[in-house]
Amino acid sequence: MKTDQPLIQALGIHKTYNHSHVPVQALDDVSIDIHKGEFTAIVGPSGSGKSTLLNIIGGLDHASRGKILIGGQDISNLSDSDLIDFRKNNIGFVFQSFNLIPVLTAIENIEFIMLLQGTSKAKRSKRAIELLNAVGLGDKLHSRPNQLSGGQQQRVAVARALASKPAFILADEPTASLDSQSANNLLDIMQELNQLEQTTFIFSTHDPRVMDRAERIIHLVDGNIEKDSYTNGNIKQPTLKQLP
Amino acid sequence: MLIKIAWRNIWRNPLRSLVLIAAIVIGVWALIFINGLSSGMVDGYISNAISNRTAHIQVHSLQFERDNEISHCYNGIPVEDFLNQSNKVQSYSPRIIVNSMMLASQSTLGATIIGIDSIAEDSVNPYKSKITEGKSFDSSIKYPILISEYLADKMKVKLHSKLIGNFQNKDGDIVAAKFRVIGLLNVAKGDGQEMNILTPIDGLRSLTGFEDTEVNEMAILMKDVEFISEFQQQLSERFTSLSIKNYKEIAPDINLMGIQIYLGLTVMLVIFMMALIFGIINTMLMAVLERYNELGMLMAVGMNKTKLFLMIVLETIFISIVGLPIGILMGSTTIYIYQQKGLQLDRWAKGLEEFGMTSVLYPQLSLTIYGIIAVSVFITALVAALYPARKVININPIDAINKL
Repeated sequence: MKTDQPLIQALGIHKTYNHSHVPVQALDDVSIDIHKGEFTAIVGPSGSGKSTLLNIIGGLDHASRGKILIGGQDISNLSDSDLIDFRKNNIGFVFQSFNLIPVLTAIENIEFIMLLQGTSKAKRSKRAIELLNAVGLGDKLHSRPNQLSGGQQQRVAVARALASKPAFILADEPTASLDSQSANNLLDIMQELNQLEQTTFIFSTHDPRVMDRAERIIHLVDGNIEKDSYTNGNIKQPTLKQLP
Repeated sequence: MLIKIAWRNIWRNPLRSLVLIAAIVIGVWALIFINGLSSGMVDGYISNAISNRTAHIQVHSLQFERDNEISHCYNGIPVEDFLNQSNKVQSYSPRIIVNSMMLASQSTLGATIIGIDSIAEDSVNPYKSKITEGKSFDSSIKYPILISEYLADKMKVKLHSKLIGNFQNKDGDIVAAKFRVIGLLNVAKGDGQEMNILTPIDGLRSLTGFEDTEVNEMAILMKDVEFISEFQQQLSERFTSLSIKNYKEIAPDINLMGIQIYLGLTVMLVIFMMALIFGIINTMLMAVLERYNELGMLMAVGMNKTKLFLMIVLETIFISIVGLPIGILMGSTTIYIYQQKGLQLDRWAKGLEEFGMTSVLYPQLSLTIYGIIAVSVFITALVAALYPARKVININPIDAINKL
């Protein structure tokens, strides 16, 4: 599902942390292109730099050197407030520990992201309901996170990530807190969204179930890309209806 | 939705929020009640002083003002005419004031004899209501006097006792007269009025050689305290050779008392607000730090720092002002109850009387003070919100999201 123009370009990314005054090289000259519609997993052992790379691609962290181009726009030199705006309008996030707002219901959690974008109330509600239906939680619109299982919460998180119609979704260990059944259900949904909507997913994971589904796997070791390979991915037949 | 989130966030930890709300309720209630009590005390003191001592305005000759000599009198008729023409004047009382040495069979004491028109004086200074023994003046007794219980006790005299008064007449000659005590007055001690002796003005005129129109003092009571300044000005412009003073100028202690009490209340208000600030900061910091992860997520998904700041400020204001109306309601109810039945302070009655106050206090509080308390709590909440809110916007989203 690739197009010629890369959606994301990481060019010569270096990242060095100062850990107790000792410089630690997290990423060392990493360059990758990710195209629209890719279902990519960045894998590697702990400390290999996969979360750092994801954070830099997501505009949550700055590279020490190198550039990140998203849709041709260099985000490396954006100010913190510009980055917040950029993330709001271009990137969807799915976190390991779901990170829903506990005082809001499922539908409100999804609407909240659109509210930040200034979407009208009517449009927010309509899209939030459609997204929750798409992830199989049409009957949990008004449930608060503590009334949902881990798998259900993560599905709400996916719906929330899609709410802002982002250019791509970054998912940091999305299945790590889920049981096997929930993890598979979640991956089914993500994979189907990828196929139907051409939604670009980039995972940071060590979960073999994610690797099994990924079309492309980027192996990071000690801050370097050790291997970057395309696979067929374990593609299932889509069951979701196309989103509006 | 920001408001909704902020409001719901307050109730994440209901016990903690309720403790802070209860503290605010009790604090606001206490502030209102103490303010009401103090206001009642000050107002009681001022109205006592006005009715017993100073009236609202006093008119003297300039010389009398300086040396308090009986000879410095003035023609009261033009002043009375001026007062009669004004619709802002409630009543007035012409007075002759004589410093005397009073002799009883067992004691001698300096006192001030005040010659009064019985009816006019009672409309300014309701002395008849303070008679505890005996009666008011009648024409059957020559030179009748009313003295305070305190003076009677000091001079070891009682009702119907005779007292010899020695004093100067208008010409500076010493005259002596025999007075008879026809009544005892219960007046507040400590402000000098317990040393006053009241007698009919006509009798004192004949003893001092005053003309029928001459007086030393004209005590004026206005219909409203608001009229005092303006009317004082008018009088001053009309009677340039006379000294016209209002009650604050005559007895600075009245003003001082008010200032002292309000100063005390201001200090109390500031202390309460300081305690409130620290209470709110403590609670909000706990609330914010336990949501570190969530706040990081909000920044990650695109909530800008202004909105985040606003959310924390809203939470702080909500948690602070929830207790405010309850505290105000409780405080105003308490004041209303004691306004009706009065707060009995019998235990401290003696001490209060020494300061010219009564032992039954009627708390009262103006809407302005309620407003000041409400605004103070609001501003305090706003100030208290700044530190936690500032802490939140400095969160690094990556650190926060990864924090367990």
